[in-house]
Amino acid sequence: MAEEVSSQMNSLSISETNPSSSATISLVSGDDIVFKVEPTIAKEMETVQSFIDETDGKITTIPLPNISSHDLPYVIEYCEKSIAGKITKEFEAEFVKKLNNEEVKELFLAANYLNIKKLLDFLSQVIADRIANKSVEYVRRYFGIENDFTPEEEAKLREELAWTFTGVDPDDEDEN
Amino acid sequence: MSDTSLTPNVTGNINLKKVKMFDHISQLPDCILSYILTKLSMKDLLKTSILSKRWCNLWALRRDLYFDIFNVFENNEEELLQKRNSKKFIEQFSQDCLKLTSLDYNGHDLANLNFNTPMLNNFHLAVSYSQHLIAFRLFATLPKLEILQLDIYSTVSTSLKITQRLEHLKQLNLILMRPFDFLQKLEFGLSGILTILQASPLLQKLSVMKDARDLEAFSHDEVKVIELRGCVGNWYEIEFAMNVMKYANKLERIVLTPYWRDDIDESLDWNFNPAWFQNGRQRIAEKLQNEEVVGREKLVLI
Repeated sequence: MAEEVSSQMNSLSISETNPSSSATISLVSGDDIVFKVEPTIAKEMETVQSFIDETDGKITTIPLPNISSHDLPYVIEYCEKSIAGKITKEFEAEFVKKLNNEEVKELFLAANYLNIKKLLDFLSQVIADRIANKSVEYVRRYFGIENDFTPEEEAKLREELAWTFTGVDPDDEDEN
Repeated sequence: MSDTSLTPNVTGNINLKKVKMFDHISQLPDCILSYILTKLSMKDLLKTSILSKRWCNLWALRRDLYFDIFNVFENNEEELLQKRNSKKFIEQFSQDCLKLTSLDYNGHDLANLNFNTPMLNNFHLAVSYSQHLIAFRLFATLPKLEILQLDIYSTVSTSLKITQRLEHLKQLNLILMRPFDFLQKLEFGLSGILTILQASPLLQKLSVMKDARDLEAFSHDEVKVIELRGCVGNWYEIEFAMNVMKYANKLERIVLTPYWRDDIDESLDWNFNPAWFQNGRQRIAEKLQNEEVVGREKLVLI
C-alpha cells in the first residue's frame, strides 16, 4: 500500500493545475498529499462530485482537509471496487481485516464527509459487528460518549434492561 | 450532511471554509448514527439507551426492526413474561420510531403497542384471529403502508371483518393458519378476503394461503395478481377464482396451486404425497378450463 500511495503523490500546487488539460481529478488530503483519481471515482463521492458540478467541471483539484493521506487510499480503493462491481464478501472481509478500530471510525467519518452511501452502509455493519455483545462501558469508549447519567439513573436503566446484559463478552484491550 | 462548503472565488482559487470535522462518532448527527443503529442486534440496540441521555431514545431512529418475542428472549418467553421486564420491553417499543420503514413483529400485547411510525412501508405481523381487528385498526393509522404480510392464527372457523380502509396498500400476503398442534379442520370464510380487496383500492398483488368460501358480487379496479395457494379444487375455491376473474377488472394473472411457497415453511415437503397434489391440480384444471369461464386466459396453474 505504501508504494502505491507514494506513486500517486505529488506536491500540492493548486495554481499549477490546468483543469482543461487533464481529465483526472486531484484530491488533496488534509496533510497536503495529492491523489489523482479518475472522474468516475469522484462520482462515487457525492461531496466531491457536487463541488465539480457547481463549478461546471472547471476546477478539478479538490481539497479534502478532513481526510488524512492515511485514510484516503482506503476510500479510493473501495470506490474503485464499487465501480468495477467487484464488492464481494471476500473483498469486504479482506478490507476490514486491514483496519483497526481507530481506522474504522476514521473511515466512517470520512465516508460521511464524502457522502459515499455504500461505504457508509458497509462501515456501519463493521462498527455494529465490533460493538456486538460488548459492555456499555466499552461502547462508550468506542464512540467517545460521556456518561451523563447519575449513578442512580444508570442503575435504574440497567435494571429495566437487565435481560440485555446476559452473555456480554469481556472487554478486549482497546486497540488503537 | 456536512457543514463544510467549498466555494470558488472569482480568481478561480479555492476558498475553503474550514469546519472542524467530527472527532468522534458520538458527535455525528442523529441521522448518521441511525445507519449504525440499523445494523445492531435487538439486544445491542436496546443497550445503547444506557450510553448517555442523548442516546436514551436514539435507538428508535433505526430504519427496520425484526421483533420476534421468541427470538429476542431466546425461548424464555414464559419466564420473562412473568417479570415486569417484558412489559417494560413492550413499552419501550411503544414510542416514536420516526425513521422506521420496515417492521417484523411476532409477539403479544398488540393492543398495548403504540407505534408512531409514519414512515412504515413494509410490515410483517403475526397475530391470533382474536386480534385481527386491532391489527387492521393499527394498519389504518400507518399512512405509508404499502406491503403487508399478515399471518393469522385461528382455532375456530372464521372470516375476516375489516372496516378500515388501507389507502396505500399495494401488496398483501395473507396466511391463514391453525396452530400446528391443533388438529381440527378449519375453514376461513372467503368474504373476508373480498373485504380486503374492497378496503384496499390500490392493491396490485394479493397472495392468500388457505381455503375460502362465501361469495358476494363486487368489482375491483387495481388488483393485477392474485395467488391462491393451498388450493385443491374444492367447489368454493373454484367459485372464488371464477368470481375474481369476473369482477377484478385489471386482473392479469390468477395463480392457483396446491403448493405453498417454499420460503414460508420448509418443513412442508411436497414429495411426501405427490399424488394428492397432482390430483388437486387436476381437479382445478378440469373445473376451470373445460367450462365457459370468463377471463380463463388469466389462469395459471402451478
